[in-house]
Amino acid sequence: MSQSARKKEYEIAIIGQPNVGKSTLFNILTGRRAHVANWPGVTVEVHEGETEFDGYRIKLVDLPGIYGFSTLSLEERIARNYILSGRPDAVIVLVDSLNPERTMYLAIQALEMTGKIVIGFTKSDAAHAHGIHINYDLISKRLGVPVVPVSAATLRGVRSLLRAALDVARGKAGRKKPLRIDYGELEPHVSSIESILREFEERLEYPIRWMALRLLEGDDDLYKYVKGVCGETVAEEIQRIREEVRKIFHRDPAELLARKRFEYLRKILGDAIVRLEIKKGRFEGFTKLFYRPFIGPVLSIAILLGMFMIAFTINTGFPLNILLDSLGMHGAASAVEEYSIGGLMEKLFSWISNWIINTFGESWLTDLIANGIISGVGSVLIFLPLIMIVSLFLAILEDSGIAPRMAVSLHGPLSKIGVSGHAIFPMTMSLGCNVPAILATRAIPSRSERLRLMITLPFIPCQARLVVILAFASSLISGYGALLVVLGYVVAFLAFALVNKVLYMLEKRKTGRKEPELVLELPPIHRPLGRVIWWHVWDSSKHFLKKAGTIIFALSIILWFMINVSPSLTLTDNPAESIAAGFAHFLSPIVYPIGISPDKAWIVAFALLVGFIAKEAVIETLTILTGTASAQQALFLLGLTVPQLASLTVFIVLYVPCIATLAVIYSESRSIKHTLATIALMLGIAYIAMLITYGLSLIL
Amino acid sequence: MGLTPGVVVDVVMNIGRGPIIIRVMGVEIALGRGIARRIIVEPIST
Repeated sequence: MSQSARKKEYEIAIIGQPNVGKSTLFNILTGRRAHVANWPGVTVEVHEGETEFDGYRIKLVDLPGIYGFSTLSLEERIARNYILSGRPDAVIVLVDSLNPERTMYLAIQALEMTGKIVIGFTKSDAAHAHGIHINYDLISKRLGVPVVPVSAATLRGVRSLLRAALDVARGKAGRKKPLRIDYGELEPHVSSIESILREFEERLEYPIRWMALRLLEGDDDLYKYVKGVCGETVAEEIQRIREEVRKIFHRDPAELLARKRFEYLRKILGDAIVRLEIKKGRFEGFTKLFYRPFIGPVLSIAILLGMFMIAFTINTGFPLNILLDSLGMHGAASAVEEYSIGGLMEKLFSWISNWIINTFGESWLTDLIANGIISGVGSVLIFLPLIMIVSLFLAILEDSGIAPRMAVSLHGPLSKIGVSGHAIFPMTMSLGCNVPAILATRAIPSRSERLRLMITLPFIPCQARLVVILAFASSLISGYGALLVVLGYVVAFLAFALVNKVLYMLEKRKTGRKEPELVLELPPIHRPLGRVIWWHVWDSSKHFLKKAGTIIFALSIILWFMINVSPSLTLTDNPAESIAAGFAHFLSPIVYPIGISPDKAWIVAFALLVGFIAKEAVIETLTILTGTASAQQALFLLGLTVPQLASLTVFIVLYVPCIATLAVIYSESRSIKHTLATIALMLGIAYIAMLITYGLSLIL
Repeated sequence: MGLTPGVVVDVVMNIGRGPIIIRVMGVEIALGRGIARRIIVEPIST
């Protein structure tokens, strides 16, 4: 390591158990906006970032959150192989000051691998609030590595942590050799494995002592490796020692070693940690409400509904406008609608479109830009404020620790349809926009549950579909209008629940798996940190803009050509002559069963086709094709009856996810099969639901 | 999650058929019934 003393660039890794505040600290160190969540294990991929400190360039590697190095999950394997590879010049192990006894276990295991360790105690300010006092110097002296208290909330200790890591990287601090724990009565067995391995020392890449311990614990990967390097007989001899230990102590060696490590940890921390009487949290009574059978779910749903009422009102004016309207305050109602964020943004985009056409004159190019790209991209951007508001609320719930408790409270009801309590957050997000909802399923531990949710979440009507429902509702007399809105949501959630249930039953029959499981850490309730919340909001907005924006941008161009170019490839002003109209005529028999006449059916089919790209464009298309100024007029001109409107609404709510959602389903599931299955399933169910609605409303 | 052999577990909440809430080394953890059933405990005096 003598040459690295002059090196100007170092690689420093960060590991820690889930929920110790690793992602937050990584963000602070690198200024990178990575996702921070209260869900254990949300950081699946490895993040890298760079920073400068004291004239050194530091490459920071954020490894996945892991509990230890024993079970060899994918995340643990990634972290272990990386640390053993010798690439990191120092490893920062983060320990939760609120739970040092538990979260330090990882640090002990890491110390058995390498001496180039710095231990950071996160949430050090919160520890004080909880009456926990830690003697960092004492722990540092006992372990022989730097121990630094940090706080993501106040940024205290962040620089000291980096400096300590640099010292370790430059060989000025840290242990020269890995930590050696006394395993007591197990020692003779450990040393016999050690002495066997010692004969092959030159050819083995890892520390002998560490290998001996891991082999005794039953590390299959390492066992295969040793078998390869040292041969069959050596491997068998090690296996024999393992069996011997099991026989002597009547326990799995892995369990024995883990127990010894915890004993060692208790010795290290014992008198180094002082706990004053922990104040019973102010929120104790409140949080316990969530665990109660009936009150819990009701409270959770009330919070979510309240949140959405506020978010919807800010964004579209709904439902406040309808409420004001029914109270006779028509002026106030239309003001709420006009000055909602959605209304204002719509104005802005139409102003930009007009400005472009007025300034550069009317040509096919300005029309493409103004009516194709700007209105297309604008229709997506309109949802950005809503997504930001909803993710702001969700971030507050998550960071404060309320969200995991809501998941617990709703686990019971949700497991009836085969999903765990985790599913509530993607479901909630779906009401705003399906795209971030599909992304939010990442926090769900069970892969099969996650795939099921990806297929079914698009059933939940997003804001775009709400816009369509509201437009349809506005063409009915007010009582019926409100009923239509309710109908849309009830049908959608019924479809969501039923399909989930059926898929779950099928899966259960095939794999024999039992009820959905919940394992969730419930972090202490605390005041949410502004910084962390902003990262959340920015992260989901960024994802949304990137994933939806690029696709919508490309598709708005394609769509514009489809509407403005005739099959003979000449530009046309009349949409009825366009390529898209040709498609629509072909598809129009779809709506014959609900009694829409063929001469008008193609207009509806065309709107549905456009709705595949962006749902809210259904209304716009109907008005353009009928040559009217509003949805009411368009629907009137089409002469749709109440049963036809109702069944069409149901169809539009269910029929297919928008193209941006499909793109995300594909990129998250990495399966064409799943993506196509989603379309087929939704189309089928939407069609059946449409026919049922039509039939029922005719009878009524 | 700190549920190691010999650890002391407090039951915070155990109502009906919902998840059981326990406290292990100072942290609350919610466990579904299926998983909770597979954890073997013996009562100790408080």
